[in-house]
Amino acid sequence: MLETFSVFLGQAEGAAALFTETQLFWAYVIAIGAGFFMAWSIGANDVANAMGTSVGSGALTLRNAIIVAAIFEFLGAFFVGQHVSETIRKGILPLEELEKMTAIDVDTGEAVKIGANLYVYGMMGAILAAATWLLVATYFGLPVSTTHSIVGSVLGFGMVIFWDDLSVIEWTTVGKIVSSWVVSPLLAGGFSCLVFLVIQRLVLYKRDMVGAARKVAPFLIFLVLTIISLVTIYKGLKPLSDEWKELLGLLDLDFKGALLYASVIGLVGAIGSIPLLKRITVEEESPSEDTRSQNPLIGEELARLKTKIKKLTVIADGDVEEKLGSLGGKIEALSTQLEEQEASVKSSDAGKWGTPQMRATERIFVYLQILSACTVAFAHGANDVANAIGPLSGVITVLQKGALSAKSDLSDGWMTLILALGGVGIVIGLVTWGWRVIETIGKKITELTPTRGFSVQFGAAITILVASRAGLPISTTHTLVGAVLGVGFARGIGALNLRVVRDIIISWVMTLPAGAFLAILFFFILKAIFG
Amino acid sequence: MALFGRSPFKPIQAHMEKSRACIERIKPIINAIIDNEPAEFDRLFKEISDLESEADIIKNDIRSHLPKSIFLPIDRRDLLEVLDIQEELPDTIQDIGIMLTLRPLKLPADMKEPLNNLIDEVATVCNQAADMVQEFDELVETSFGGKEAEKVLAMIEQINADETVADGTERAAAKKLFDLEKEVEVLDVIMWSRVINKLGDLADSAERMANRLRLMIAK
Repeated sequence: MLETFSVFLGQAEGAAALFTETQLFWAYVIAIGAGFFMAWSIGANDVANAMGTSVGSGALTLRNAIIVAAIFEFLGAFFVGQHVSETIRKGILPLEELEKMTAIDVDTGEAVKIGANLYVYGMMGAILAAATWLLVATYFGLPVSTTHSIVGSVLGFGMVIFWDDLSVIEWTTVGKIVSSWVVSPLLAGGFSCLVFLVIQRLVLYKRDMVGAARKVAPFLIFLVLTIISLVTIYKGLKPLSDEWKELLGLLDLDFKGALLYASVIGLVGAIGSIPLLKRITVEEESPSEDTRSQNPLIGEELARLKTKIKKLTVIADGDVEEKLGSLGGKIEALSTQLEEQEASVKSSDAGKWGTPQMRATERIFVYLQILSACTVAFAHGANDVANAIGPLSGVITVLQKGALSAKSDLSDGWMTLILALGGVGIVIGLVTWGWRVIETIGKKITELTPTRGFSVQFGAAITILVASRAGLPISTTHTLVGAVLGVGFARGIGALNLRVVRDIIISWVMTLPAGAFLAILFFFILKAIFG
Repeated sequence: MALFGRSPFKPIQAHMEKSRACIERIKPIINAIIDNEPAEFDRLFKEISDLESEADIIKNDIRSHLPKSIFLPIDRRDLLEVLDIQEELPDTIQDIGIMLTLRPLKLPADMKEPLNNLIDEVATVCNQAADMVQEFDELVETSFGGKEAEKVLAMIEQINADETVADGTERAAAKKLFDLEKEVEVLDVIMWSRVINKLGDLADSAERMANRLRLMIAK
């Protein structure tokens, strides 16, 4: 059965020489299994950060957010995911050096090439380490970056192998990656700040906000569609075969051609939006009941009371316990009533704050935020899928070609398959678990109205997508935080907790060593098992 | 995300609404003394005290959620100071209530009109300040600039002007009181002049709030 398995997978003869069939089998199982698990947890944890704000601002219902995320995460992963994936596969470790490595075979006394084996173990170790770190961190409620974990793990493995001569590791690439971790939040902050300032000056400062919004929105739609299309199309879209490209007119486009193509897409979107925007009008001024101003406070206090009563009920007995029980029941009823009230207030046009003009303006920007939500999901898929399938693609390349060489690239068919696997993994993670996290975040973040949400997501999406095209694995979570801070800097947000910045900097310092350490651990375990 | 702190603006508006409720009770409670209606006075006094306690709770809650690490679109210090001044309104109104209970008070008929004029004008200024605070929602939405900010600045100017008028009315009322000093018991004169002062203080507080807000809006 195993023989059929290898034939089915099109093994080159070289692979059969490197690994026994059992080893091959387990290598595949672990690489695919752990890779899938990583993809699943990206969908379960990471996606929520990108989509949560859309739900919180009311731009998307939970259901629609899941649909949007599922579609665009997959598309991003599938069409743009290979750039970052290649960096993880061969950007950090010097494949030529690995190729040259030999060891003395115990039985025959001959020098045998071991580079390929070491690579496979290392990659498997890296993905297992990253997956373990993810489980541990999630269990303890620590924030974790899938990107940092994978990069740290791969680097750790590299350092173990080349312990005698660390200089052969591609430190320039490592340097580029680490600096991109610092640069991406700053860049996203800059973009988002800029976008929001434009919205501020051109729309929010005006007397006729709605009219201004109707004029500005098409331009913004044009910008978003053009930039995203350009970054995706220009010398990209590898999974698309040449026939498809020719059909769509995408074959061999130079920069000008790509720009033109992208602009057309932008124009179509912008012009198409104008009639849609005309439909949004300012509602009649209705007598405002500002019940919302008290509810957040009441809700919090009630929650604290509930906990206190529970504690007291435990230590009390007899008459006091009974009275406490009924009191607890009343408080429970109160908070349920409050939640229902809040829910109905929320569903009716995101609360009656601000003037009708402002609410109408925000409704216009809902369209824009839906668009930016799509782009951020797309960009996120493009960058993060590599964390799951980068090592996998490396392993499969070796098992496929039966050798390790700098030039060895995965056949296009395999690449497509692996990217699809990653994409599907993310979607499944999203649909089975991630939606819960989106719901939680959406409930907590109601601060970001669509104007802000759009600015944040647009700035983040550009940054993440450009980084993906450059093959740089970055933390989408940190990028989003940077984008939010950028908008906050432009006075756009009610209250931001700056302690998060300190936490991010700490994580930069911590995750690499943690990931590296775990990778080394797993490497030795695997070597012992398979060795 | 732990990134988003709790916005203080809605709670500050809730606090101001408590103050507004107190402001609405100034005229009835003073007139309850003038018209000798102790039951009515007691009822209003209790309501004012309750409102003042509730406002205190909100104020402390806001303060405890604004550590130094919170980043706001306006200066955090400025906002805390507006809150402090805002706090003075229910406090002062409660003080007036207490003063009215210290000893039985009588007011000459001729004082009734000047005093009520003063109360009306002070209430107007304070209500304008409350309206101004209610604009926080809109200010946050427009990020404290543009036409909305201009609108609030105009409100602030109006408060400045009205406070000056109230000042004049305060002096007139005090003068009238001393004009009638022969007809009034000395201690009554003292108490009523203190009440008049406190009313003037209310308008002052409202104006100081407005000026703080002006600082917030100017970048």
